[in-house]
Order: sequence, then C-alpha cells, then structure tokens
Amino acid sequence: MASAPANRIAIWDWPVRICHWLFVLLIPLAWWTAEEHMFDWHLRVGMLMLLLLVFRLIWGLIGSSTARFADFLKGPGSVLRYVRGGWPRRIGHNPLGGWSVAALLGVMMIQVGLGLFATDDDGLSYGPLNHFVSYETAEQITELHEANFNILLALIAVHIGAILFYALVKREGLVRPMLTGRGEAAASVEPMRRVGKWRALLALFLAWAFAGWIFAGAPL
Amino acid sequence: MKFKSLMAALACVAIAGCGGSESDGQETAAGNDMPAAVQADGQANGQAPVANAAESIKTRQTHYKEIGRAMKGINDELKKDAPDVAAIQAHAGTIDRFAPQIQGWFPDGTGAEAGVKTGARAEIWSKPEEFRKVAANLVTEAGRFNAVAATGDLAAIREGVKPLGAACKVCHDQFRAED
Repeated sequence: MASAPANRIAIWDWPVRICHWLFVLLIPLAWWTAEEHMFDWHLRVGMLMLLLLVFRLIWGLIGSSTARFADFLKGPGSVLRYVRGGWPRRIGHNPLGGWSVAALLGVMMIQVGLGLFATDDDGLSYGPLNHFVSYETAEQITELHEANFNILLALIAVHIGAILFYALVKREGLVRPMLTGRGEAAASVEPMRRVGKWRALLALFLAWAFAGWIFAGAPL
Repeated sequence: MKFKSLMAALACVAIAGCGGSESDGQETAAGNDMPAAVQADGQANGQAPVANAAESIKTRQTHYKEIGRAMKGINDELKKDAPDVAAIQAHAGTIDRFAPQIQGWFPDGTGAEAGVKTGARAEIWSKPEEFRKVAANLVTEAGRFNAVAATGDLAAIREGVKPLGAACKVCHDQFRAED
C-alpha cells in the first residue's frame, strides 16, 4: 500500500476493514462452536462480536467519512436514483449497499442481543444476561437466536451475491478495496476523509467497557 | 430448541443403577430396587411398552423442564452478590430427586415413532448400556452436588455445579436430538 498509484485513493479505513474481516472470521466460528456444543467458546466469540458491533456503531458516528452512517444511509429517493443509474460515482457505500450494510449490522446486533439471554440448557453455559429472564423466556429467546441466524445467513448470501454481481456484470472488484483500503477512482472523486487515531482508541475503549460490563452480568 | 433440550435431557436416564434409597441419599449402585416415584409411574421397566406414549413424553418433558429450571435457579443465585443458599439447596434437592427417576422416563415406544415432537434419539433404546452409564453418572453427580450444597460452602458449590452441568451435557450431546 506504500506506493499506491496516483489514481488509487483511500476508500476504507483500518477500523472498517478490521471489523469487516473479523465478522467474516467470527460468524462461521460462532456457528461452528454452537454446532459442536462448545458453548464456553461460543460465549467468547459472542463477547468479541458484541465488542466489535458496539465499536462499529460508535465508529459510524465519529469515524472517517466512508464509515459514517450519515454518509451511506440515504432516503428511498436516493436509492431509486442509484438503481436507475442516476447516482454520481463516489467512494463508499452506494445508497442501496448502505442499507444492506445497515441490515447486516442490525441483524448481527439482534443476534448478539438474543444470545445474551440464551442458554444451552445443559446447566453449563448461560448468556451473561440470562439471569434477568425466566427459564421459559430464555427457552423462547434461544429459539429466536437460532432462527435469527438464518436471517443473517440470508443477508450474507445477498451480500456475497452483490459482490459477485459487481465483479461479473459491472466488472468492479469490491473485495480488494476491503482488503487494501484503496481502490481506483477518477481524479475528481473525493477520497476518504480520515479522522484522528484517538477517536478509534476512544471507540475501542467504550466498546470494551460496555462489552465487559454486559459480560459481567450488567451489574448496576 | 429448548424444547428439544428437554427431550434431550432424556439422555440422562439412569437405567440401572438406582439402588440408592431416597431417604439416605446414598448412591449405592446396587440392585433392582427402583425408586418409589418410578414405580408409581408404572415405568419402572424401560422395556415395558407404554399405553399413552404422547402423555409419557409430555410428562418427561415437564420433568426435564423442572430440572432445567432448577439448574438455572442455582446459576442465577450464584450470579448474585449474596446467593440464597437455601434456594440453591432446594434446587439441588430437586435435581437429586429427579435424577434416579430419569431411567424410567423412556419406555419403549416413546421415541420419534410416537409421532409427537421429542428430542429423544433412537440411541437411547439402541445403546441402552451407554444410556444407562450416563444416566447413572447423573445420579452420582446429583447426589454429590446435593451433599455439597448441604454444606452451604459457596465456593464449593460454585465449583461443584460444573461437573453437574457436565453430566447433563454429556447425555444431551449423545442422546438428545438437535431441533
């Protein structure tokens, strides 16, 4: 990345990319540890997911330009314009992809949120907030936790389908920029606006403190 | 899936070794002496066909839920700053009381063939020796934990509940179906 050509500009910052690829790693790991009934590990994965999601939420408010929700969550008019081809070329999520990202993050948050109350029913592993709900409620929440994972899978399928569509039909590689942080763009396109590193540290600290508090059973 | 768990719990059947008399809480793996509750259910013999399979399944699920509720109750208490030892002891007693009965909860005909939703896997009947082993293991662990709980020593209780949960899990993993 050191000697990027002049026409390759910054698109995604480090926090966005790290979050993205950790999700790619952790979601299959969460599924597998659950399948194998390794619920102590499943809980650890869940805690890391919670930390990442809270971090990503905060980063969506104070992070660099392409990470921000305000940058990529647009109204239905903009989405329609994009679909019809009338949206100007710029870096970051397009109006349609932005909502896909929001849906993915939202469903992941629901998934983690449900998991906090769930139980393996072996008397060994309980979500960190399981003690706030009754046995019956925890049973129902655990079922929702399983069902919601299928929704997440469906969204991931759409996500990967869109990447394939861009690669094969629109001849635009989206994976490489998510790896390197950079992509080709016309000289007129405004690159990503960075923010100070302290913001990432602040977001990480807040996310760590929140996840730690939740996993301590949310003591007041 | 909780649902299935219950059924899975079935795995914990301690077929054989229920020699211990309920009153003294000892688990001498002696003989043929079935606990009174099991005899009353008329399901003392794991091989005996059952008149109403659906009802039998429902009953065991209800009992497994009570065990699950007791386990959760123990763990809920242990999360508190000041756990209620008496509550833990009551839950431990519940589990200790149910554990020796489990072997009687799986009469023939109460597997998937009964046509109602059950997590009881066919292995319960096809591998009775293994099922008996894990069920007997639960009886042992439940009795041990009950004794630990009776001491009121919270540190020991905290440690002691883990092998009890493990005894549930080993049976669930083997004999309880996924949803």
